[in-house]
Amino acid sequence: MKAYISTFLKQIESDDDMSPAIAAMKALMESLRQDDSTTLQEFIEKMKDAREALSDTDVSVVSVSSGCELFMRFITLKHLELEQAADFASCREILLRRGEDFIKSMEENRKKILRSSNTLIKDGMTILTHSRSRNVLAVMTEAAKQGRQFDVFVTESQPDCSGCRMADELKAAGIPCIVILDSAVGYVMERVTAVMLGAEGVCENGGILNKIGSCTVATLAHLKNKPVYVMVESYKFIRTIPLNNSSLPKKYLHRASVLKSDRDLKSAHPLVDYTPPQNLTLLYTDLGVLPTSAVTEHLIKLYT
Amino acid sequence: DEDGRRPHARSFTQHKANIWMNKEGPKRKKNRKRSKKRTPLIGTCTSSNPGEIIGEPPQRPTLVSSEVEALQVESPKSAELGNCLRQSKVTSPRKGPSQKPLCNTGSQKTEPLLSGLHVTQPKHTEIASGDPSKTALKVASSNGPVSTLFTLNVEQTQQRASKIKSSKTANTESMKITQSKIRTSESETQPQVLLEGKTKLKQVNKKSPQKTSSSSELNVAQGCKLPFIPVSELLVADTHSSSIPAVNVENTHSKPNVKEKNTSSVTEETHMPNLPPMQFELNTVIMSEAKNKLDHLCNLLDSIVIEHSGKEGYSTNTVIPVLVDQTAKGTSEVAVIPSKFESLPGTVSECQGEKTKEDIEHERKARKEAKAMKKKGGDKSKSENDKQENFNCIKVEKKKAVQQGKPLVVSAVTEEKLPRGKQEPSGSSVPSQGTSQESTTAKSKADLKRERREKQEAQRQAKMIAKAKEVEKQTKGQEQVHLSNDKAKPAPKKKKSAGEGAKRSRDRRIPLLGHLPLHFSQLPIYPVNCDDIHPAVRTLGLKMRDRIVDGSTARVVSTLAALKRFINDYRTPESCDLSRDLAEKLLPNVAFLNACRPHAIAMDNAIRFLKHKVNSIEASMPEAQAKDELRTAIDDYLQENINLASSTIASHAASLIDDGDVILTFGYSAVLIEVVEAVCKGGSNISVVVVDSPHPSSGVSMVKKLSSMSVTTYYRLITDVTHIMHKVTKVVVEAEAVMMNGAIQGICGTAGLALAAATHDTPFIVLCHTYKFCNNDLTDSLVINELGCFRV
Repeated sequence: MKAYISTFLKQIESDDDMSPAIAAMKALMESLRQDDSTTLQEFIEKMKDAREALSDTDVSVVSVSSGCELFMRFITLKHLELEQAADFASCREILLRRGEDFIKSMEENRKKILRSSNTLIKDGMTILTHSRSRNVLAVMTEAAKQGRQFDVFVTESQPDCSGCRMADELKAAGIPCIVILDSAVGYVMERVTAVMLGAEGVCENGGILNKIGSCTVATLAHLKNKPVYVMVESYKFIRTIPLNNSSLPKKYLHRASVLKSDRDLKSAHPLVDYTPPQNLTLLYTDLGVLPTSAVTEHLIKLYT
Repeated sequence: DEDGRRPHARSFTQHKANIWMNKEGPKRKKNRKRSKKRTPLIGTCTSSNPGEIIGEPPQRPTLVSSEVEALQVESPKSAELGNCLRQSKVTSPRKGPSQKPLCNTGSQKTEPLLSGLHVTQPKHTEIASGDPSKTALKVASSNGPVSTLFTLNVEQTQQRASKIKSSKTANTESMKITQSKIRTSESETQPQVLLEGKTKLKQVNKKSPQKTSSSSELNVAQGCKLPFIPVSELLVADTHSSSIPAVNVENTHSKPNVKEKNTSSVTEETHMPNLPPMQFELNTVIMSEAKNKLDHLCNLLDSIVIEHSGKEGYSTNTVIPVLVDQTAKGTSEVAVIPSKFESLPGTVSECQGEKTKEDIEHERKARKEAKAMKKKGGDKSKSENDKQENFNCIKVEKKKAVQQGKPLVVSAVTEEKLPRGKQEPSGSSVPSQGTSQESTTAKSKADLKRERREKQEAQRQAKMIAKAKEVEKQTKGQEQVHLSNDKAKPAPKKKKSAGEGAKRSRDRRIPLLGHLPLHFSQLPIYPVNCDDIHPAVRTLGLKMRDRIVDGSTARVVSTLAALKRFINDYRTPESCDLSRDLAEKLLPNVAFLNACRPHAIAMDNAIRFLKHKVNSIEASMPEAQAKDELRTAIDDYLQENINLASSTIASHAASLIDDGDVILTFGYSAVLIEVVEAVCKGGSNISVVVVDSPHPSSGVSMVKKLSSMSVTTYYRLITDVTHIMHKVTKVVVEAEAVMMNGAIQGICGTAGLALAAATHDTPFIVLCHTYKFCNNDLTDSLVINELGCFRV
């Protein structure tokens, strides 16, 4: 196993607060530092391999691939400037500098989200959240710090019970919270004032890919006219438009280890589902508060 | 790459079903036909339609089984469908027999426009044949709300049926004779509408003398018809409101010097042909059962009054919304003439000259007759001067009659007769019978005869005039063409409005779609040697008109190819700038194409691109080089925007289609074939359902292509798309254009398909080249659209 992959995995394990996307970017930086290629093209090829290797690990592929793509896009942006560099060594300098800047700015993202969602949680609210999301956790903790009084329902979120972890962390932050069954979402929905979700990826049409069960929660909320807010960093925007859940690529649905094994995928539980934009109200991102349709615009700006 | 991708995204995200129909073509036409037939009916309309279906060949069974092997696999489905069809047929049989004759007459006539008129005929004949139950059925089928009334009445009339029969047959015979007379006297070349209308008029008129002669029989007939009055009023009113303008025009044609009052009364008379004659008869007879011969006559007239009254009442009011169909039909029957009239005021005056001659003759005759009558009956006839006064009286009377109903009728009736006689012979003096009619029936008989004769003459006159006008217009139109090259664009339009094509197409207009530009089966007349239009363009125009070249992509490609040839053959005049002169010479060509068939949005874009290229050529550039540049520009445009874009679209779309998908598509689409190819190349196994609209059945060739690629293919009509939608995993269609708001424009029926897909929550994928994007933003498909051609 290559060095950057081991650092990547180590980082994910050690720092629980770090998004796999950031970790992947850092791993890419690591590989960039160790890189011995002599031309830019060769470098880009190697980075591509590195990205594939990273998404081959047992992590959330969605955010890793989107983060890596964005990272590559950013550091290799404006080829002109790179071409002006005398040799590849200076070129790599530029890339390294850019990469570090980019990662730093990405790490700032959560703070930006906190700022944009500053007034989102008000006193007396009952919030339903699904699974565990670092962003949602940060927003709630921040609100609690500001002295807001609100209740939280957290779904258990099978199969990995990440909801329970979320509940523990919320309780630690002094937020009253109740863990409910995944199947009890419909039961509690009428008591809820808002739904807050994280996301592993945001599709081009504004729909989100998130822990399995999010679609249920969002659909039910939509049915009961409850707002659904998504806390997500802009580096999770990905350039795909799933037609529906069944058209999601398999690498998103299952861990790499499952895909590699000869198991029958039909019986394997998918890890993510796709929530169409119609069921979402607003996206709280580091770019500001966006309606779902604004994602398209942003991505077009980014990739053209 | 980006180019191909964006549009996709748009169409997905917006997912608008705001599609409008562009190529509705014959399909629309069919609808129109239907509505026409349905005209008076509101309640029973659904059942009457199947009558049409019966007439059609049984292609419906949905599957082109001979061509598609896979279909056999589908056989249970198709069987199901077949059943459905059969059911629909089964439901119709009641109407079938009654409707069939209608269809037949419609199809047999070379001029489908007249079908509105024809509709009335079969009924008439039915009456003549004396099968009351049948007629009742028919009437019921054609007049929805009224139907119940009628059927009730029919039961009453059953007993009297035989009598009616005899009287009717007598009537019809006489009518036939008169008709034949008319035909012989009048030139056959006259537009059919006129002829039809007149013959009917005759028929109606004939009836009155007949009835006087065979009063007892008539009585019976009248008796049975009595109860229908209110009904007939309603119906009449409807038809009236629509038909008035036309008749007016006719009138004015025949005698421009007649005053408005005259025209209105004439119109009233001429309406009758439009009504189902039966109804007319029904009305006429109302009161007479207990009365003597004189009263019969009066009643006859009375009925006319009633009809008038109906007309007046309704004409002042706005047309009832429910009756839209009917009015459409009415206008279609009649509107032709007014258009002619309005568009060519100049010719009218000339016609007047002709008319006056005839009029004079006519007047003389009439005077002689009047004198004779005076000698005979003294007060029977009045001088010409009195005529006008009489008319006024009649008007008043009529109105009264309308208000008060039957009591006044008798007095009104007699006078009612007058205008009739007068109206027809345009300027001629019709000895007005006035009150004298009431006193003696014998006199009235004579009067009626005279009237009849005069009417015939008047009709002949009208026809002559109409003919003269036609000729005038034709020549005029041609002159215009010759006059100036610059006017090439407006010229065809004028011609359109004037020519027969206009007539025909006008006929079919529906108020709802009245604002849309007309599409004419007749081409604008361009002289053969006119050098404005390049032969290649001309050929293409004709092909597009005949839908040999169809589909927006094909039209763009062929348009650019034709224009390329035009540029090839172009020579810059000595004194001119290439860019300026070429741009100018391009205009009539483009206008010609547009006249043949309205441009597709994609064509507009392509032509705009070409014009831009032409304009951006510098004056200093040598001609050969400039032309070369233009040709390569066209080639590049085709290559980049169509060929390369298609393959990009195909690869993108293929990524959306998975193994085992059942794709549904609509009509023929070259891009979709590429997509399917790409999918198959990727190793996926898919099946395709080709949905087709019955009229321009482009889907058949699609099925052929796909099955030759050994793709499992099914063929369905758009009508049963909801049956199979649940088995479809993805709907993929090609758009003709994408609007600014993301709405798409496609073959007529795409919107319905999108709705069906949305209902079943099936992804609806739209393929579209970026050069078909349009910076219009349309609220619906009625804002701008293309009307279909009128030929089947």
